Amino acid sequence: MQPDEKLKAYADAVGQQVRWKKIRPAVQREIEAHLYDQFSAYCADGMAEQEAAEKAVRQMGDAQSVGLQLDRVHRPKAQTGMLLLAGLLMLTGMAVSLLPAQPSGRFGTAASYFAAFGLMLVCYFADFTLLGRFARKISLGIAALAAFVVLTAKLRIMGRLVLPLGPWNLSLTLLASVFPLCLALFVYSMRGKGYAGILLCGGLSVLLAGLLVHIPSISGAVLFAAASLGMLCTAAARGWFGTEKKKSLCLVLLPAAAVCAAAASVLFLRGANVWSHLTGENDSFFSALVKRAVNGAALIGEGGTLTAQETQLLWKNMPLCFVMYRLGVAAAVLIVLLAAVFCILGLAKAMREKSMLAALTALSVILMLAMQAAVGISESFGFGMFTGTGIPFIGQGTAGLMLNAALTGFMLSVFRTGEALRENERILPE
Amino acid sequence: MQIDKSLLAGSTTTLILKLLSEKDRYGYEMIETLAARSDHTFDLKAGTLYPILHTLEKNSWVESYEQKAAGERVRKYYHLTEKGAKALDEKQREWQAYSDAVNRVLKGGACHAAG
Repeated sequence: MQPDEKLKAYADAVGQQVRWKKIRPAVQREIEAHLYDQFSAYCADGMAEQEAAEKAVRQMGDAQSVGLQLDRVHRPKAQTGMLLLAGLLMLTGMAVSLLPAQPSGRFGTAASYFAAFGLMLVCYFADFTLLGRFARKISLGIAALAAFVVLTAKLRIMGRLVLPLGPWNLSLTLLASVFPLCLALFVYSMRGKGYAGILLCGGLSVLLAGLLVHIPSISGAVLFAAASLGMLCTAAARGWFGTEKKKSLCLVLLPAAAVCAAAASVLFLRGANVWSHLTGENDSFFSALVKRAVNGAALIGEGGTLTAQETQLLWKNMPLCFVMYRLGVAAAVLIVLLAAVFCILGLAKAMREKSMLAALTALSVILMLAMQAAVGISESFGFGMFTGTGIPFIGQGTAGLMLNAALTGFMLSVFRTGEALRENERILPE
Repeated sequence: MQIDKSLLAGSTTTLILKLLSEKDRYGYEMIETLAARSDHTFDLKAGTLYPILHTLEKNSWVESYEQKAAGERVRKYYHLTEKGAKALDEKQREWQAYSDAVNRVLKGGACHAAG
């Protein structure tokens, strides 16, 4: 066996002991590089190549034992806790959907929640590194398809564009949940592309936000803009564009300030709803209903001031307020805590991801879910400046439920296997 | 002098962290530096070093990056993180306390009495 073949064979033998296949190439590269350094040093001392290779391999120790030790270090991180939390949120959503006295399609509702959980598990075990391999093509493909659908759609329900799909009408407001992932992939594909990369990312986020405004989904556009800002700031601050960190942050934050000013004016106008809810001046129908439900709610158990029809209305439009009225304040607080723990843990894990693709993918999902939760909870108690987002997995409709389940599955897959991505990021072909 | 391996096992992590506190290094360089500085008292096997380095990286005590070496080869460099630097301080204090205690016992309490 030639000396270099001997070194490679040793590195391969170490790699074979590492059961996590995605980690193997990185382990083998490192061991092989070490062996070559040792081999070169022996050759420089005047040793014959064959002898130098044998001595370098001997110096490493037993390949099986080294491989087994490395195998113990590198294992996918099972996300049992996060899966349980997501499952609990889904179970809560299912219970809330089934609570009304005469629900129509009880079986269908339960089936859709079980299907959503299954979809989440499928995405959890899916190989999301494919997203990284074709990041630019996937992101631009989604953007182009979305632009085509939004600009050619004609049918509107409640003033918003929908896409007729056989017997179903798919609300295009759902694109707000997909766009952050689309932008995350584009940002990833622009890594190391300098200031031009930052500008192109900014351009795509403005285009996608524009599509959401056209639907119109103002809430979706504002949430997407905030998620974009979070991702671009993270990428700039970590130097992923290959530019000076402070200048990159300025480049992201200056136009963002203009967008924030525009968003602030929208918020100011919509803030009137919150103000009237607080002061009781010009109370809207729902505002008055929420107040009566909250005032009539018990700590534990059903409240007693609303009619059956009003309870039904509350269930359809303000699920958390409905839970508070129907099951008690304690149940609503538990749901808020559950959603908060899920989002905080998810954000913390996403920020800890070292791989660019892992961090961006996870951030794109958890930022959107966290903002949906914040807006959905405030909306449920009459403080909503935006409408239509719902709380993740609770009262969001079947399409929204499936989409969030798939995205959550992807995010947990990132947490499970992000380490392998970090190790192999440099060898992912673009 | 031949050193009992169990003595080295407890201090390997501290020695690696110390080397990385000076500058970023790759595996082979660490083994060579350690051997040279200790007059070959610490001849660490590469097969022992890498599982330790990977564990340190998993605990976020070190970070790694790759850099091109001669030819087509790529070397993986390790860098001490802030968390790793704190851990090193702690381990150095632990080692100091431990070696002081061992010395006091070996010297029959002389150090203690002198103090």
